[in-house]
Amino acid sequence: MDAIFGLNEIKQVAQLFWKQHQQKKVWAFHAPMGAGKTTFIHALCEFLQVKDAISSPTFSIINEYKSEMLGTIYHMDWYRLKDEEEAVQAGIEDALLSKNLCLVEWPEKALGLLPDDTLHIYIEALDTSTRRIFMQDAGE
Amino acid sequence: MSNFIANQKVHEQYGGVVPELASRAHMQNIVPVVDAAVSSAHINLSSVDAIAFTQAPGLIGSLLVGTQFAKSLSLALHKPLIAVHHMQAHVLANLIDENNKPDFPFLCLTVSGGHTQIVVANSPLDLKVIGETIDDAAGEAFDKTAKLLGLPYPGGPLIDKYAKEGNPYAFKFAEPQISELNFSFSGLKTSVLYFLQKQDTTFIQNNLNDLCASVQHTIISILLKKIQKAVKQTGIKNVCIAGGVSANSGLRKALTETGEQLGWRTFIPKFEYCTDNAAMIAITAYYKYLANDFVALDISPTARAEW
Repeated sequence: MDAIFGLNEIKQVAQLFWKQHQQKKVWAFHAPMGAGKTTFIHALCEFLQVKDAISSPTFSIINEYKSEMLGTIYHMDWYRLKDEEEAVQAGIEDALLSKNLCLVEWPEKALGLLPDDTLHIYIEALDTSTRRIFMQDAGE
Repeated sequence: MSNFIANQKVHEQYGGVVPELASRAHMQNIVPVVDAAVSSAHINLSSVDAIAFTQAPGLIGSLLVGTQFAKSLSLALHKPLIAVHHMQAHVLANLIDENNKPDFPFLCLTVSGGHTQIVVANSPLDLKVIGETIDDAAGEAFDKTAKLLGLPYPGGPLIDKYAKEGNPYAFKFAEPQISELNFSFSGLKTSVLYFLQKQDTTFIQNNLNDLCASVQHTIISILLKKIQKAVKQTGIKNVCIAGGVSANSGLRKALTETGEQLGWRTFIPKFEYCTDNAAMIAITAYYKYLANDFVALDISPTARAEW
C-alpha cells in the first residue's frame, strides 16, 4: 500500500492499513523525526478503540494500552536505546513475543530483534501538511 | 524523612541515557538504597508503619523489582502494603513542604519527559486528569527540538540555558489548535524542523540563543494557555506544577508572573521533589495510610498509565 494524505485523512489511511495488514503482529515505523509516526499510531489506536491516553513512548520506551478490539497493544519507541542489548534489558522481547499487536517507532535501533514477518512501514514528509506512507522490506 | 536516589553509578554506566530501563540495575541497587535511606533517617525498618511501592506506570521489569521487594518487606515485617501510582505521586509532591503547600482543591500541571497532564486535586485521594498530551510530552518537545538544533539529547536544560540570552519573539513557531484541555507538541517539532530546513548552514550557529528562546517561549505558551483555560473552567485558583520540566526557569517565571496577574496562588515544589523521587511516593502513601487504603500480597504492577 502506498498513500499520500493530509492530517484530516489520517484516520481513513490508518483504517485502510489495518484492514489490509491486521494479521501482522509487529509493525515497524521507519521515518525521521517529525514525520508523524506517533500521530499515525495515535490514529490507528483510536480506530482500534484504545481507551488509554495514546502518547509518545520516547521517554517510557514501552506504552501499554488496552483496546476494546484487541486486548493489550504495545506502543514502543526505541529512540533512546543504544543497541539490542539495551532493548533486551528494557523488556522489548517480552512485548514482541507476546503475540499482542506491537507498534514500534525507531525500530532501526534494534532491527535484529524484530521477527521475520514484521510489517515495515515508511513515512515521508512531502511538505508541512502532506505525508506519504508506504511499505517496503527493511533496508531496501 | 529520607529521600534516597541511587542513580549516580548507573547513570555513569549507561552514559546518562536510559538508567531506568535496567531491571538488573534495580535489583543491584534496591537493597543498598533502602539501607541508606533507613540509616540516614535514623530509624529501624521495624519502626515504620507501612511499606509503599510504585505500582504503575513504567517499564514492567523495573516495577516488578520494586513490587516484589516491597511485598517481601511487608511480609517479613508484618507491615501493611500500599500501592502508589507514579503520576498521582508527582501531584502530591506539592504537599511535602508543610510550610508551602496548596489548599484543596488545586490544579496541578505535571510536566516531564514522559508526561504532560492537568490534574484536579479535590483531596489527596481524589485526583482527576482533565487534560493530557495526545502525542509528545512537554519535556520531549524540549529534548527533540534541542536535537533539531544540533544540541545533544536530552537537551531540554540547554534550551533553558541559551534561552536566557535570546529573544523569545525572534521566531514564531506553530502552536497547536487542540480541543479541550489536551496538549499536542508534535506540530511544534515539525514547525521547527521545516523552518530550519529553509535556512542556510550557519543559521543555527548564528541564532542559537534566539532559536532556543523562541522554542521555549512557544512550549511555555502552550502550557500556560491550557492551565489558564483549566482555571477558567474549574474556578480553581490554586495552581501547582510538578515533574522534571518544572525545573525550567522560563516555566517557573511564567507561571509565577501569570499567577500574579490573574490572582492565582502558585506552588512549585523544591526541585528534588519535582523530578522522580521517593518522597513523593511516601507522601502519597501517608494519605493512603490515613485512609486505610492497603493492598493484599497478590497485587501486581502494571505498565499502563491509566488511574
